[in-house]
Amino acid sequence: MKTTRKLLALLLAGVMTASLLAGCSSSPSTSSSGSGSSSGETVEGEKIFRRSTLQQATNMNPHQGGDAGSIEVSDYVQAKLYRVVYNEDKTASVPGPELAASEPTTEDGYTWTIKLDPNAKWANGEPITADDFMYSWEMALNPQLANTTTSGLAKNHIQVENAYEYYMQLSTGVPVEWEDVGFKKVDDLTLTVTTSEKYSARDVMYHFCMRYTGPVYKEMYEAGMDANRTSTTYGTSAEEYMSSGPFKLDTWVKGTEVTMSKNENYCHADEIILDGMTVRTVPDENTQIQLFQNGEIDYLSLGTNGLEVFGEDPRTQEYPSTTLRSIQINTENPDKPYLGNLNFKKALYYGINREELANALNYIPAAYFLPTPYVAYSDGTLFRDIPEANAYIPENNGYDPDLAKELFDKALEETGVDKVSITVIYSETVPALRTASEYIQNELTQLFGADRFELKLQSMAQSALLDIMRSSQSGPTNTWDLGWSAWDLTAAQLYPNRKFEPYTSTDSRRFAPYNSPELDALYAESISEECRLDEKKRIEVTMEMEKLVIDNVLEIPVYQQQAYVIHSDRCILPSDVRVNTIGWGWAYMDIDLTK
Amino acid sequence: MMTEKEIYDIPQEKFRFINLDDTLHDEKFSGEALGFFKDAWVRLRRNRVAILAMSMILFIVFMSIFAPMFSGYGYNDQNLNRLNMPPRVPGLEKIGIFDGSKTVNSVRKTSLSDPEKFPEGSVIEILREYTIKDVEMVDVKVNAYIYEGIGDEYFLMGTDYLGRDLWTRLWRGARISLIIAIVAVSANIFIGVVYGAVAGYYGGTTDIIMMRITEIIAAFPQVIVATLLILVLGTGIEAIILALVINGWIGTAKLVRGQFLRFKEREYVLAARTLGVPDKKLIFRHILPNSIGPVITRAMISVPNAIFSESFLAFIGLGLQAPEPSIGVLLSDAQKVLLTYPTQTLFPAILISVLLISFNLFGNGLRDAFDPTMRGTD
Repeated sequence: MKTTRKLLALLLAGVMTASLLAGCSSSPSTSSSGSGSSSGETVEGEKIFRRSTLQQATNMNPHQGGDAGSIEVSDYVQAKLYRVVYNEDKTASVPGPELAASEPTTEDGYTWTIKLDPNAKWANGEPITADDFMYSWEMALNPQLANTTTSGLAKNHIQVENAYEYYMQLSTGVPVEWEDVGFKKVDDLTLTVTTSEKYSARDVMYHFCMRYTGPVYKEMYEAGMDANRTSTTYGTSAEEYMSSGPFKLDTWVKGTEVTMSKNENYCHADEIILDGMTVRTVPDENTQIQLFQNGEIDYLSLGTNGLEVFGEDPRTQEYPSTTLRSIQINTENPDKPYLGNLNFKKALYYGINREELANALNYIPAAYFLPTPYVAYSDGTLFRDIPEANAYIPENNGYDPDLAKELFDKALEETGVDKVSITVIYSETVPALRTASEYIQNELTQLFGADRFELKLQSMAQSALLDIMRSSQSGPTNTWDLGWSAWDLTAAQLYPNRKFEPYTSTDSRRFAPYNSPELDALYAESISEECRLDEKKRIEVTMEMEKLVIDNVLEIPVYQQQAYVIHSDRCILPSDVRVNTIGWGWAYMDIDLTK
Repeated sequence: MMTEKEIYDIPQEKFRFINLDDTLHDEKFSGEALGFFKDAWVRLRRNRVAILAMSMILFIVFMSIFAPMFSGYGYNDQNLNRLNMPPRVPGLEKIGIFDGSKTVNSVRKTSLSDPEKFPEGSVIEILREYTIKDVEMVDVKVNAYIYEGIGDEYFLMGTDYLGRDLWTRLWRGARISLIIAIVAVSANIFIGVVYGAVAGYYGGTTDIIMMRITEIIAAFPQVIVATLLILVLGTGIEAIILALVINGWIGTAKLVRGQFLRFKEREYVLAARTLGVPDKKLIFRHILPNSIGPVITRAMISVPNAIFSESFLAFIGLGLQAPEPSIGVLLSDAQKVLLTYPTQTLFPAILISVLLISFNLFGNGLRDAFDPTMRGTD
């Protein structure tokens, strides 16, 4: 009995050690050397760009699936009327025609005529006509179909006459006929779009660059429709999707891999060098690193581990991301009136050593609201490069411990509280947020003193976090105090004033009770006709808004993410720099088969 | 041989008194008198594996109480100048293990001569030289303590992503894990014993209803219960303990009920009842002590299960409120950097393995020790 037990214990220990060692040794040798790795034996071959993504694609229907994984694939297989292309020296992006033959024309700024390229074709060779667009737009805005992403077709860069009213008619109860919506077919190759306000041609082109404005293939769209016409299976598998972009969707194994090949029927097919592209879903950073090291993928986005592994590798490229992380304040919390105290909010703003934190995370300290890649003017000038836009940002990235302490004392005095006890909520899916929260907790507690300041951390699922924070939209709530958020509005990359839209007091996306009439007024001014047509004026108003938001601490900006990526040697990118809205230009890249 | 008659007919004078001057004693017991626990202890003591396991548990408990006090670092002392330091142990460093060295990958060869990046004496050896895009690159092994410029410090298990001492955090984490496990198990045992005793003693309809209730509760998957609880209560010790208690007591309840069904019809219970002993006293004084052995054994085996469940929840992101560590939280953080800093995973993994094996072996030892059929066999 005893000996068996002893033997068993020994055996167990042995097995454990063995499994530990096996786990260590097997990792570098798991995958065989990749198909395209090194030693130039075949110069002939297919030019396939292989990459991996963290999230899987879920839906190719341009009217659905606004998730990152779907968009990453959809961008290459879905054509639109217009697209963003490189400027002459390939350092910035400008809008240009894709399925359209030329820029939109207008006589009054309200009615825009768009001519289609006669060569515009589906991947199966059938021509794309005005009817395809009319059908697609009608379906996109169809109130029964409840498409999640298409309200942007009605109003985003431009507002199309009656389109939003048509889209929303079930909830508003005011019936609108499709005939009254500002989309009209003139002939097979001509469309007109009537807007409810005056816009520029640039606005119109950017509007029709969006994925959800692209055409859908009527036959498949109808075939996938359910009996009540409330949803369609279009775009949920490779067989139920018709490509129109630079590549066509060949196979799509859900959650595993998407393969695409060059679309010979694409109207700009002569610009495409690649033979194809594969996108693998690999939800783990470490696995991606190993795939890259084994030469199985050509592109890698580096996280903390990746930076550690690739260090000073000359292939590493970095660029500022548009994601800016900030802390929202529930200023109307009835249990904690000090959250609404301006001095208290300022004390938090000035108490965070953004630089030290950002260094540890390899990010950029941000005491401002508009991230660095946002473009101010149509010549490509970045908003943060304008000197006036930096004049009002507090020095030292908004870190001033003495001032913070002083403000904190004042805030306690004004609100008559001895001790502040607040909780910051953050999303568990973003590891950096926990690091940042723990850092801020430690720092502020030391600064203000543990007897007077207590900050608790609470992680939760992203969806729960949004629900809790947005519950303050329906009136004062005590469910949260501080919460991390990030706004990354695509539209704001080119129209920085749009960044402040979710901060206006009636916007349905707002996180915290901002309630700033001054900001509402400024925002309304920034989207007025005058500002739309005069970008200098628009940027001036945008700066005023940013200054107002910083002075009143509507939220506490902390850091802007910095992206680090690495391309394999085989990749010949069209431009050395990453360009706003085009990215690295993978659609136009070349592959060096000798490497 | 004398006949029966002759025996009766022995004359009186043939009898004489003996031992008139001595005091009469009962015969002495040859062995020691053994109580229930003492008997179990005797048997446990002979089980060397169980004793080893017990000393291991005591050692870990001792360390988890005292190690954080004497480490010289707080469990939440951040320092962003010393992120992810490798372990460095005085003494061991001389023989080349845990000497504070780490590999820095993908360094440009020109950087090696830059004292800003690589201070004097930091480079131990160059592991690999290669070129990428015509740039000469090296992988080097460096003394991380000189490399980061923090000199003479010793982090026995290195530091984490905020520069916190992992030795302190590991023992603090062990403490939290043990507290969670012990509180959860005590609550489970308490609820389970009372519930099982009532159900088993009264039997009949009471028993049927109570047992159906346990079956309903047991049908909730633990992970889902835990997830929902944490969504409602937020992360933290209370939520995790509650998650472990919600359906953790059912096993104990069933075990105790079984014991009651066995003992409640015994004669001594009948006798006590006849004498008018109230139900409460019958349950807790007369019947329950019979099941104390299995209950203690079960408790011992539940502790590692609770530790493991806590680690599992932490690992899938339903952990404690940061910055509080637990073994699961440490493992969950460490696996994110498993490839770059394997030692961060190694130590918590070893600790949890040793803890689980020890509790299991000790639990097995206890089960044998309390086994009534083994009583007095050795």
